[in-house]
Amino acid sequence: MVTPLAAQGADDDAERRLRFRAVFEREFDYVWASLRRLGVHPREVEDVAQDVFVHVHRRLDKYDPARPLRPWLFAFAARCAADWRRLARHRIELLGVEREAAATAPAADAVLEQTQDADLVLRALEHLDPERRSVFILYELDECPMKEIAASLGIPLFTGYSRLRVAREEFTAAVRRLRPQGGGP
Amino acid sequence: MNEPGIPPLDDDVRALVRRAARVDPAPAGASVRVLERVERIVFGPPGGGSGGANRDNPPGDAGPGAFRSALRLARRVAPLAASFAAGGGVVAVAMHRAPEPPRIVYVDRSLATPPATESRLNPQPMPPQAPEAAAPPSAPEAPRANAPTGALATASPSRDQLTAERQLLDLARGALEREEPERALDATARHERKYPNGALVQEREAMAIRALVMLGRVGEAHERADRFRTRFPQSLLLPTIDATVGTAHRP
Repeated sequence: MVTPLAAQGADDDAERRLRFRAVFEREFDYVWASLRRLGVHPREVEDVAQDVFVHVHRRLDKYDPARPLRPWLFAFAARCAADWRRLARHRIELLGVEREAAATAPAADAVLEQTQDADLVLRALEHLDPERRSVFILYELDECPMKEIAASLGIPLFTGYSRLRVAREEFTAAVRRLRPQGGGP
Repeated sequence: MNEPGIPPLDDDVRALVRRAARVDPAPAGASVRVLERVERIVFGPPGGGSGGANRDNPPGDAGPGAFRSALRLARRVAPLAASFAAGGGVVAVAMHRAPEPPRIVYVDRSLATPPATESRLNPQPMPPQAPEAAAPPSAPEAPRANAPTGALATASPSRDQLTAERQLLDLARGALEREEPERALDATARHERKYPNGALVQEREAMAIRALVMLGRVGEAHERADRFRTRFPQSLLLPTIDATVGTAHRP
């Protein structure tokens, strides 16, 4: 016999699953891209994305729909990416693996150029401290207002701007170093 | 976006950032795989049961990272777990559910590297909107098959070589997942040329055999499988290879 309480619990679970799936399907690509920008190795993104969404599922009830979803998700991604970085085994093989794979894929000029831009940005981001990198990604790439960034990362507004200022300098310097000679804008 | 008091990005750098700001789709199939794994963890396995690490887990819950690893191991390595002994491991065989083809995955640990004891999810707090998500998953990462494989490791290569071998075979594995057997076969051939007796020779052969079957070159697949059985009669990959060629009738 199904009690009213049990039925209510089943309804809650079903609703929770639906809500989670809606978030997942809408933002999976964003979380994936964010993890890459946060420096997670391509081979590991799937595992780390899994961690992110497990956390997201557990905290979904706390999400305020009145606020933008992406900065909220990004905070989980940043946390999980930081955890990933702390594993010593990942520090050894951070770079260089994906280059060969990318180079083997044929690409039209426009696609190739876009890929090169994205690759340059990813490599320049690697030169940023993780905390500043998060602010920079959210502000410059995701175009989030600093107020939302500060709220989602749990930092004072002033700190957010301070990190952004330094991050811009570091990112620009990295791009200048990494950009091939004669490379376009 | 510019803010008062903060020097803006230079125009060329800003343009670069804008060009790279687009969110590209994740690789094909990734979302399906991740969703399946997440739901297994948070809701438990399909059809009921309590195997999932859901929100009702008791205190001491090892956290999703550990559960993920445990699930992965259970699903992929369980059929072979009994064969594993202590040592440096590099490979496990993925034994998916029946309808799915066998899949070869790596256990990301070098032969010489001691197992990490740090959890993927450690006690550093989550962002303020997600304080509970920082629940301190302090248990070590579930044991990945970092032991074993006396039968699989045919050499004791340097870490660099192992990495290089793995990169090549990652190309093959990715191609198989994308159902591009010719590319997979090309990658395994490159591996064979560079590392004829490398540490991952068995994995290479398993992938090559699978690629041959996918290409319809069944006779070659059987011949290669026969050579594999002769060369590695105790291999942990034999069930995978048998399953692969077993689905293709010998001409």
